[in-house]
Amino acid sequence: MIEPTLADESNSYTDLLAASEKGIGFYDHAKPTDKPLVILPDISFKQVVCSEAVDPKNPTTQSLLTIFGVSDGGELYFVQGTRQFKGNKMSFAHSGFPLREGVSRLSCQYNSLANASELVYLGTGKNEVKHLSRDPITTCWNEETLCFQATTKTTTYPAYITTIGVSSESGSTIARDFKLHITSEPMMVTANDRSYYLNRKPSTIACNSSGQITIVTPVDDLLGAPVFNVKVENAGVSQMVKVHAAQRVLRILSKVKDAKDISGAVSTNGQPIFSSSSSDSRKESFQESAELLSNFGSMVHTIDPGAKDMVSITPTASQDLSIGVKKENKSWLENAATNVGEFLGDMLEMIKRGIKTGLKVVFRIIGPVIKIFLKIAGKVVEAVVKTVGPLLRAVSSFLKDSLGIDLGKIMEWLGFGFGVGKTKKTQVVSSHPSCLFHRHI
Amino acid sequence: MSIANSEGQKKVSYLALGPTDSSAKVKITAGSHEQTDIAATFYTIDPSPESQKPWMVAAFPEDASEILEIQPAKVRSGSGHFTLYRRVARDIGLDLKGEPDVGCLVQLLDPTTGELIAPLRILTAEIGQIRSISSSLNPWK
Repeated sequence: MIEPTLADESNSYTDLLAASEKGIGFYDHAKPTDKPLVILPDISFKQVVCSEAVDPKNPTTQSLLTIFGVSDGGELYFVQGTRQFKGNKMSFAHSGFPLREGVSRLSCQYNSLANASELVYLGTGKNEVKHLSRDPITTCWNEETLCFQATTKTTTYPAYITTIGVSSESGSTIARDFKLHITSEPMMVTANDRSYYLNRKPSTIACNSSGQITIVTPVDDLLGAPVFNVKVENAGVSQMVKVHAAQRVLRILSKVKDAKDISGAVSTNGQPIFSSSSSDSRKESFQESAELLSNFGSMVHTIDPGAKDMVSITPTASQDLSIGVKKENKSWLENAATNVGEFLGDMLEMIKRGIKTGLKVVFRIIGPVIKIFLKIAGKVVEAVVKTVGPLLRAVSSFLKDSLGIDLGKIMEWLGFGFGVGKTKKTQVVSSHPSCLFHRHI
Repeated sequence: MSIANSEGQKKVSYLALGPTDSSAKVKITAGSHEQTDIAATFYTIDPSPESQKPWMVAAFPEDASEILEIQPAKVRSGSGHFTLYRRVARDIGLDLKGEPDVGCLVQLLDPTTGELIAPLRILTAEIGQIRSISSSLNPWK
């Protein structure tokens, strides 16, 4: 039995991981010549990498292993391992869904600074080096392409712009360099023109001369957006404020009441998003999507009561909201379901990659959480959504799928350019004895 | 990469770094392909300038045609390497009796002499042919 003491360096040992034709073999350092523990035995792997770190939440009792495997077909799988120090007990969990395709080589680490599983991988395309990170709380994945050469032309990309302003009680602008402490899911952002890797540990960012911090967050293809937790400290008093980067998107989506609101949607310059011919052929999907969206505000409110200022809430008529499922035929739900609770993010990645055939989805509002049931290729899985970020990703992935529109169209519908008047309308203000606080997108 | 020196002609198939007690901070371990006069094996290379004989051949206990990968090992019984290698049997027509033609060993160093002590075989029946190995150091400090 191994009961390591954290002070003795000689207690660090190496475990061996083998990528093999029948899964990933894990050979514990304590007994390397014993039979391996086998992970994902039905998949043939060509590479595996692993990184282990003490669990920051349970530093005296267990460590976490981040394992990534690449299958022969270049599909990327994520496995989370846990080692209980007492008795050196190992356990492994995974969704069984690949996160990515077209992966050739990879290297991973558990980033204890950001408390996130991170991976750098080479794609099979030219010049493809990607950085992928997983938020341990929402389980969602974020990806950036790493650039080694500055591009010579200007690049444009859709982004969420969040401005956080701090003013004193009397309303005057607070001094330049006043510092705010911000946490969010792991994500590269630009704040006041500098790059930051925001994560679950606070990043300290200084206000500009107007007492503001402007955060630019690239929009991923599921509209995924962070919730910034902003800590304001002044004269020993501190206040925590939650700022949704996707406020505008949440508000617009929650205003949809019926199919006409979608088929008649216009971009900010007045152009229709859907041509009338495509609207006719998609009548049913518009109806389904409208039903889902008309309850979106209630869903957001269910999991984040504080978001009530941002969304329109209609009392929910039905408990279940479905896509691709006939109302009378939901028996598969009751016979469900493999719970992939910790791997909602993996499930969303799989849908994002366009596995659509026979996809059936039900959102169910249960108390303070929302359950998503998914039937795909004869397999039923369920996952619990507890925060707004993953809910938005889930809803937009199904919308994209059912409405057949890409991110460009969605941005035309939901996005807008800068405009002072409009920006002011979307402003949300909260106050505090020592600081006045306003935030807007 | 083909290299000739005091240890003869050799074709290097894999390079890895390991700790050492000489003035150089690291020792290099090189795995080789089999040659006409020598089976695949590995070498330890001491990069320190005072070393008279930087390349040392280490006995590899199996008939191997190629050292595929070397990973550092520190297990409860000592330190050394995990080695993934291709068996020679297929090339010379030996019957492997259903065993995969890639094998994996852990070899540990005697802490006083630095010599390799008896190798331990890694069992692969459950997982079939191994494609790649990776050792992961746990964080118990």
